Amino acid sequence: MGTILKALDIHKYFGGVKALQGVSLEIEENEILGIIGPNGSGKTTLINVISGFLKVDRGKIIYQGKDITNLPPYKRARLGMIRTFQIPRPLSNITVMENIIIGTMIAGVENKEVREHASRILEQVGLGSSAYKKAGLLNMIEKKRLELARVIALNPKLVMLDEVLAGAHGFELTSLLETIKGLKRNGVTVVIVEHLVAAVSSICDRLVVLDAGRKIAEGYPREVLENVEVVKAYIGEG
Amino acid sequence: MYNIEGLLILSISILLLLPIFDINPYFVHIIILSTMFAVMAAGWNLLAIAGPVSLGHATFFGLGAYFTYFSLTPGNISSYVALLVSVGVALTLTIPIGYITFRFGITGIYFALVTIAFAEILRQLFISLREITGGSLGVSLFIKEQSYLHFIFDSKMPYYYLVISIFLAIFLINKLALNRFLKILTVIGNDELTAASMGINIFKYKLLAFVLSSIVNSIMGWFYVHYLRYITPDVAFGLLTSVEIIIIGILGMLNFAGIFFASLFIIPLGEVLRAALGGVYAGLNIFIYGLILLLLVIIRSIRIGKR
Amino acid sequence: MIPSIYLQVLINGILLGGLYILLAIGLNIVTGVLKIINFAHGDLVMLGMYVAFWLSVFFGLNPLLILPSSFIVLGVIGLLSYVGVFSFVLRAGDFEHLLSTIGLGLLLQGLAQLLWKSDYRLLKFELPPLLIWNIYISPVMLSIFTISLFASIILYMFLLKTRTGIFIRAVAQDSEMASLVGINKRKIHLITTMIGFGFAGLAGGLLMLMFPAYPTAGFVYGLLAWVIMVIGGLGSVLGAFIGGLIIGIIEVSFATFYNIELARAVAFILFITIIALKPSGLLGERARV
Repeated sequence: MGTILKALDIHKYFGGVKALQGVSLEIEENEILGIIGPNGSGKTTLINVISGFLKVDRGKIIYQGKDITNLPPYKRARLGMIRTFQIPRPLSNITVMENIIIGTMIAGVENKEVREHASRILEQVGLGSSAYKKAGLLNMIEKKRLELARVIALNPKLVMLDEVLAGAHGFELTSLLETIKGLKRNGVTVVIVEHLVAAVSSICDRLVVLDAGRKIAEGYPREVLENVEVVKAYIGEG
Repeated sequence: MYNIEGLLILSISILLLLPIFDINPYFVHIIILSTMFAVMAAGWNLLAIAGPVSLGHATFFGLGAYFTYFSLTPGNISSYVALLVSVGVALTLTIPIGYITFRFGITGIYFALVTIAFAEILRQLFISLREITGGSLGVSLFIKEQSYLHFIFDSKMPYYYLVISIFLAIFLINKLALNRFLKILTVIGNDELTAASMGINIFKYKLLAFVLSSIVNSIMGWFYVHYLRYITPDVAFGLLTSVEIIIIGILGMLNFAGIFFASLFIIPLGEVLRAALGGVYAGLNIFIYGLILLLLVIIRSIRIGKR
Repeated sequence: MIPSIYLQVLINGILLGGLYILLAIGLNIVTGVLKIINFAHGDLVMLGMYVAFWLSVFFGLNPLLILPSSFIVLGVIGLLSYVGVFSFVLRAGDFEHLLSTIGLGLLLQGLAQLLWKSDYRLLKFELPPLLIWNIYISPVMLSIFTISLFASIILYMFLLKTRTGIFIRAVAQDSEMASLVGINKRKIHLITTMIGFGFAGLAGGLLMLMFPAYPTAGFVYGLLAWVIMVIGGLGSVLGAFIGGLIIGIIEVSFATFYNIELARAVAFILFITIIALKPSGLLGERARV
């Protein structure tokens, strides 16, 4: 298993604000990588930069061995890099089923099989019963699951989930985590950005910790969570 | 949704069979005009689905019409060639405009303004080039022989069948072959960020929609000149024409069947006003269109607000 | 020594520019605060022209005295527009905003055509030009320039110093924050619409002193207002100033040396060129797509 993505010395500024200051990262193929850190540490900015929705001020992004730093976001998506948005963006005026059908169509599934395919994915994320509701009517948690479902429908290679677990607990949480593990079983590489640590550490192979635009820790969940710096960062923000 | 499309097919079938009976030629004329506008509104709609709202869509109609006239006047060029010329000329405008506005992600308002500006520039231009275009009085086509080389017939009926068939063809193509294309356009129109995250090349699709839209409209321009054999800069590029297209598109709720029936309402309305009021009709026409537009938009907004 | 014709053209251009600044300001406010693209702006100006024309003809008064009525009538139309249209449409998206103002514009245009036909209406003015430092200055243009400048400054002061003005700027900058701070957004939108429309009317009244009124006049003035705003950049009052002056000078130069149609055509072409070269979004930063 090699490295699917390398982010090299990423800098991103917004006016005077240094959102990312020299972050470097390597994502192993087929791993589940968690990116955690307090609010404002730059997690979402990192996702935006890797997926191309923001341009880096300095640094390089190498995906599957190719330099994609200047590639527009849609081209990165076509290479199999799919991300979700922190505030879900469903296509509100159409049904949940239609949302997913469009995804599967784009992924190239045959017209006749599209519906069946979409149904299966909806079952997977637990939205089977809402299939014919207008997507705009879902609650926040359901919308996040819809995002996840759409990502799956697009047959990705590298998935970046931005706070997709927020608000879920108990049974919902477990089934979401199962779905994510299912992605890994299918050969997908998963990056999970989360603010809350506990849920994420149970399924992640590795963790990366950001604080104030820098990477302050990286490694296996247990070591990272016991790292003093990490604890300080989280407590400091409370 | 299925009901209205069934109604559409039914209506078109009836229209196609109607000529068996003796029908009022004025009725035929109205149907021809309405269908023509329905086709143009459908073309406009294709682009609007993806986001860009064209406020000067008459441009392509007008170019199609005038260049058909220019091509046919010498007398030795066939209608088929004229068709190619019309579409070709329209595209020489579409492609650069589309390229510049879509490539750089210029917001919809700029696109709207550019389309209005072009329609108006062309209108002024064609008025001032009196020698070739006959100025604001327009020009007439004089071809006397009926032949299939030139689509000129004495009777209205060939035009009737032609335009209805074109509409039907476009409808069927939309339903059967363009499903994926339309869905992608819908995503783009809904939310460009989402579209990009799904790997959609927004530029390519918008440009394609724009090209198809202008091709369809320029074909109607070609048709118009063959049918009425008369064109003026105001009809070709005027605001009224562009507005009629938009209103039909919106009243038709942006779907095919709706557009067809909306056109059957708006176009006869325009004709009635023109007949009843003479010169003043233009003002009332525009006023009513403005009113309809406002009402439609307000109702739409209230519905959106409720969600 | 600059030949006096060029200086003449420059001066006239600046004088006209002052009016054009006013033309753009009304549009600027409404667009900046309501975040709505006001396609009806030109038609509002047209209406302002007609108001000035008919009142002037009816009362036989000097049109300069009639100006406030243009402002007031259009202000009332602003009120009606907000209550009848914008208050509903603002909750929807750009598509609806665009169409609502188009509908409004068409309504006004149709009304004008219906009531007053397509005939060109012109006010007749005969005032001898003043001769200052070897340059002929039309007193009409001078008064227009002065009034425009005056109005612009009043507006500027209003926005800067008064409570309402500050609220308006707050909503323009960040409407979410503004409501959180307790500003009544709806009231501000209403007031802004009235002021913006009023200024459009005022610009129309001033235009009436020099140009003819006809139902479709709005098209040209609306487009000019947009060109000025685009050149100057949205929300920048200074930008509107610069844009107005540039357009004024260009128009007078071309009109003097060629003809008015060419001048207008040049303005349109300039507009399209600027859009092509400076594609940055009009309302806020756009993410790459």
